[in-house]
Amino acid sequence: MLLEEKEREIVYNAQKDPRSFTPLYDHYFPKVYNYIYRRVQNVQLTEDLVAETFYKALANINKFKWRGQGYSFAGWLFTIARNQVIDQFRKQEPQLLGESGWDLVAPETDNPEDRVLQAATREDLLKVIQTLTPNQQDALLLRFQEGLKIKEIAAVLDKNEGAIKALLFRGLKSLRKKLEGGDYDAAV
Amino acid sequence: MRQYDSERDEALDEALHDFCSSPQEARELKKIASMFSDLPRAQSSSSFQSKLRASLLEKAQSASNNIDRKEKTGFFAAICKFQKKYIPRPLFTVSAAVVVAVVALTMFYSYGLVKTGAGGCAPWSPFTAMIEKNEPEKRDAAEKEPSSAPGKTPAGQVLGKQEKTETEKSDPSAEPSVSNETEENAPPLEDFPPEELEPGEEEGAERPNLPEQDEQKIYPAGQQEEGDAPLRPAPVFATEKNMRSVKLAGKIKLSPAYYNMVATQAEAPVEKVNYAWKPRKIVASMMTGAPFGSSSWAQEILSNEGFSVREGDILVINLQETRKGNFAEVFYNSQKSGEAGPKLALHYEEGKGIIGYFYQEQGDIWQPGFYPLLSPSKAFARAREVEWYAPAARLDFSFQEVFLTYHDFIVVENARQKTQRLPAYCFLGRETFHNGGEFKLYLPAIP
Repeated sequence: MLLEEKEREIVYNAQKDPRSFTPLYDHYFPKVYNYIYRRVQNVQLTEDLVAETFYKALANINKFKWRGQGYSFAGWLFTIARNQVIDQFRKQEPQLLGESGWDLVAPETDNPEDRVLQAATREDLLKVIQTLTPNQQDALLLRFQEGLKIKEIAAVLDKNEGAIKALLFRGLKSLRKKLEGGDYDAAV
Repeated sequence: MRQYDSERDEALDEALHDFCSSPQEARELKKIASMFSDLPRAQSSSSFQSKLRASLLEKAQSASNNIDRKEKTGFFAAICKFQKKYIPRPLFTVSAAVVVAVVALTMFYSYGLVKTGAGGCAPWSPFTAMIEKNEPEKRDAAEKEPSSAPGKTPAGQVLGKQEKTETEKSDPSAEPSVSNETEENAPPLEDFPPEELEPGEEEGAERPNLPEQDEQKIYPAGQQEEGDAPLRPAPVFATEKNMRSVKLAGKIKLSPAYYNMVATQAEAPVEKVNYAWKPRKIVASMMTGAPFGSSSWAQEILSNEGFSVREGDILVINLQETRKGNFAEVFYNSQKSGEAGPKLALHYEEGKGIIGYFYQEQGDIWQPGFYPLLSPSKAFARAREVEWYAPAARLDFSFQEVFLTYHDFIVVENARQKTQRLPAYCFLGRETFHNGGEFKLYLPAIP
């Protein structure tokens, strides 16, 4: 059940008095941290970007407005977080994966479904996620890790809902292919 | 607060139904999605979470104070509107007059109508009121440490905990006598700053050209009385009275930096090193919360330069209102620099930003006085002269904090090398590419 009304009330209070921002911070900190860490894969950077995200959210909370479908506080906050990540990637060169020597080999089995699931451990999946395109990573993380709705993700990524569905589909398909033993070039 | 399970499955079904060519493919992708959802979540250290929470609360507090001030102004406007609307009605007129009188009295007292020692009322100084209202900890420090050096004009403070701020801010009875307390009970900061001393003058000697009382009236925290003393045409900073300069005879040669290895192991420098100076800046919209010249304001400008002001550090702020504008002179002594370490001094012009960097030399390496410094960002530019050695082929450093200290550098003069102790910025950073450890980079702070 979505307790949107409660969230609206907390956001409204925080807009009136910034000291009431803490419930939002307490609730969203683990989500924002997880999202940013999964994207940048570095604790120090994650801490910097998470701090920057919440500083900006607090500073601009009065500018946040509930505007129609898909525009939620979570969407707004993740938009800030995503912009931080994008800025970070603009500053640094692409990080190459595959240097650590990890390798995925598809096991010998006739059933393709089993083939994927037998091979893919959680660790493998975490590594393969890094090889997806940034938008695919964002869509999958926001959808399946942070639980945002399709329309909320559409607002964060500034795309329509159809495009987000396509991103999710292509992302999952790409994951399956890579877990089967495809290419592992980094796409960040 | 939010839960999406039912919606999640429906949306996924819909997306997969739209795009998958067969039910089997949809089933496979759903399993992958399910694995994705079950991935362990990255968790931060609880210390980071609580530190950030505390920092946000502090920002929220200052932002909240700002809103309160705006609301007070809005309240006055509302009263004026009310009066205009109901002025023809005598009952309302009388009521409104009473309300206005009460509010006016309350506002006067809450903004610090200062009683003089003679029992009369001195005109309210906006600077004094603003600073003292937002710096109860300064008052606290002054009360705890009676002055051992009467006549020291700057109001210094050892930064304390935030908790006291709340109670003291809400206590209007603490407001009226702040002006006298600031002057009489300033904490003993023997090191800061030798404003009263002319260059070359000995401490304790007579100073006929600087009448102490006049200085106190004009200076700290803009305590000049309107109408009594004309505004100065331009600022006169305490550091300028004892300013010195030095020119090195040789050229500084920066030592190589060794990361995760010792000098004897080093063979060839690292091929690719990226480093960035990224002080944790406070975004512009957050800075409106701290009044110009307040302790919070000084912490913000220092933070934007990379100096992390912590509990126990010493801040001294001198404000000057001149015909050219408002100026501040900020003295900062970080605990990291050590008691014998160099003290930083900044000149700040309201609306323009920092206009000068200096440090106070106690006589350890050169003659006592104030010497100009580079800004941390300009000093960091010299990092490109450093040769890096590490076991890795590539290094990425992110430097976010700095403090002023002394460091021994090699100075080359006529092909001869000698070690020279100089004021230096110590940049604290971390190796990011390999999620590595902390690293300290010392760079000369003098121009």
